Amino acid sequence: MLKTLIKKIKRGLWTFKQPLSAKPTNLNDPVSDLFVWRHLGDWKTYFDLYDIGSFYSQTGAKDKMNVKIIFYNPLGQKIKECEISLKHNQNKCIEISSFLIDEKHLFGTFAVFHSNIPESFSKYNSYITERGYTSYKYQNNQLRHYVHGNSDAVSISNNLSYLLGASSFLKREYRLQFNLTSAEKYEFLIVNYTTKKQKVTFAFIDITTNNKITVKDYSINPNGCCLCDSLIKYDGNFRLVISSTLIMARPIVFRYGQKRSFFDVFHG
Amino acid sequence: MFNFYPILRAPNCNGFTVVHNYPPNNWEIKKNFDKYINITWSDGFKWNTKIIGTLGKNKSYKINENDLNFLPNHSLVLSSLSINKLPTISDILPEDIDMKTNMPEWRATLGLESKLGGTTSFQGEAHAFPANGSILSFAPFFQQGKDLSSYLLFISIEKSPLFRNTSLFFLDAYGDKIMKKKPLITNHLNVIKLDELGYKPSELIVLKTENIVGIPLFMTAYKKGKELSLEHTHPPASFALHGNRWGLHKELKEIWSTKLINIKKT
Repeated sequence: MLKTLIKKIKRGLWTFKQPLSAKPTNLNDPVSDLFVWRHLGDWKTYFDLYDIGSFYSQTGAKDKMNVKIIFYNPLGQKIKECEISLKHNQNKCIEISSFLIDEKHLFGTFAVFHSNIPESFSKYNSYITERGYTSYKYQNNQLRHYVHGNSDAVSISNNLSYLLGASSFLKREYRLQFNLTSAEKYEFLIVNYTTKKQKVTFAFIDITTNNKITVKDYSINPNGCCLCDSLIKYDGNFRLVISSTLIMARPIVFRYGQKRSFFDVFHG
Repeated sequence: MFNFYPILRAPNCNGFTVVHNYPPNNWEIKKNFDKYINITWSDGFKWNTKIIGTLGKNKSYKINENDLNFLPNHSLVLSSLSINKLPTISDILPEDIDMKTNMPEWRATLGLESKLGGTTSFQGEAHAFPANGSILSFAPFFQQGKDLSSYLLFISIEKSPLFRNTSLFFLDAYGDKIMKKKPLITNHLNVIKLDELGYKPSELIVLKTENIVGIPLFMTAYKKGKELSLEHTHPPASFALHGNRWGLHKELKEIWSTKLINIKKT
């Protein structure tokens, strides 16, 4: 009995009032992940847009609906907002870079808010959320390389967006379960979906000895993101541990071949 | 719930899975152990398991085709890490002590690589799905163009080792039309070529099953593997946050089940 209580208290330190995402203010406020865009130089970013609300229609209504996209730079400052018209049940793969022609930053975040919210969402006290699919082309790639959204990061009310992420009381480690090797190059992107500035530490660990090879520190504004690369003086296999007070500092990993040419992207 | 890590398979590619014996965070698992690396497969009657090695704490191991030459062709290959030895033969999918985490899940690296240089992976895990369930999935991943070929890799895992024959319906995005009906087998990695199904680039692929649950993965290759792209769809429950999202999910599935029944009637 006492043992169970102690176990519960210990777990509570990590879970009490520390949800992955808070509830939006109003039941009709749409939610979005904070997706990552990259552009200029070698990069093109795409997003597959479709009207989620129309999936819940029995009749398959064929009106057009608008989707709002808000873009932020890596510092978390809003840089652009646009509306895109979507036919019901249509898939529109948009090129994000085409909205960022004057933008000098090389990467940042964006959110996608749906306006077509079926009544059934409020019936079940749920919020519509976009956690869809971003894709990237790097250099002369013929394929778009996909990565899915993962967080319910941000909502919008009366045209003002607000973040839903909470901070942890204790510092958490996100241990990326992926074998890194000096034969490849990696870039790790972390988004801050909380209202507080976040300090994030990337520690690269030698797999053989379990010792730290190097540590890199970043500070991320709300709505913003940081990019950490794997350029370290080390020959062999290693792994990554990310420390922060984000509830889940799950990175998007961009992976490149050095000895052979390939590119891949995935959620950590 | 005990995690399995399938080993992928696709045309012109070799599958690999890298299993990792360290937890994905510092607070959900307090004590880790050395573990057995298992390969489990069904012969249609029983689940079979073979230990292919052991893995020390904080270590990783890449399982590739060379580790699997004892397997019958076309098996769904499930790797796992266990503290105790799994039974060599069993009537239901074997399991061991639960080392599951939630934020995030304890994952492995599931990937494909081709001899032409392409490689792709995602972080994943899998469990047995209920035999009486169904799936509904909306997929925008279909890439079309010169020298591109796309496949659906549908992974079915059930507790029972039996191979059941069933079907997957490819629907148009309005739910007005069945684009194609394809056979599926349970406890298999079903590979379906997407290029010949008749979808246009602006059309969503809608997948619907009636008595099988699985993980739909979409793979596209350029020039038979010079480049590879791979991603899975989210289940439609992820369109909703908080509240009774599974109730909403059930309602959505009912809408699309009705659409499928209506198409079949016409």
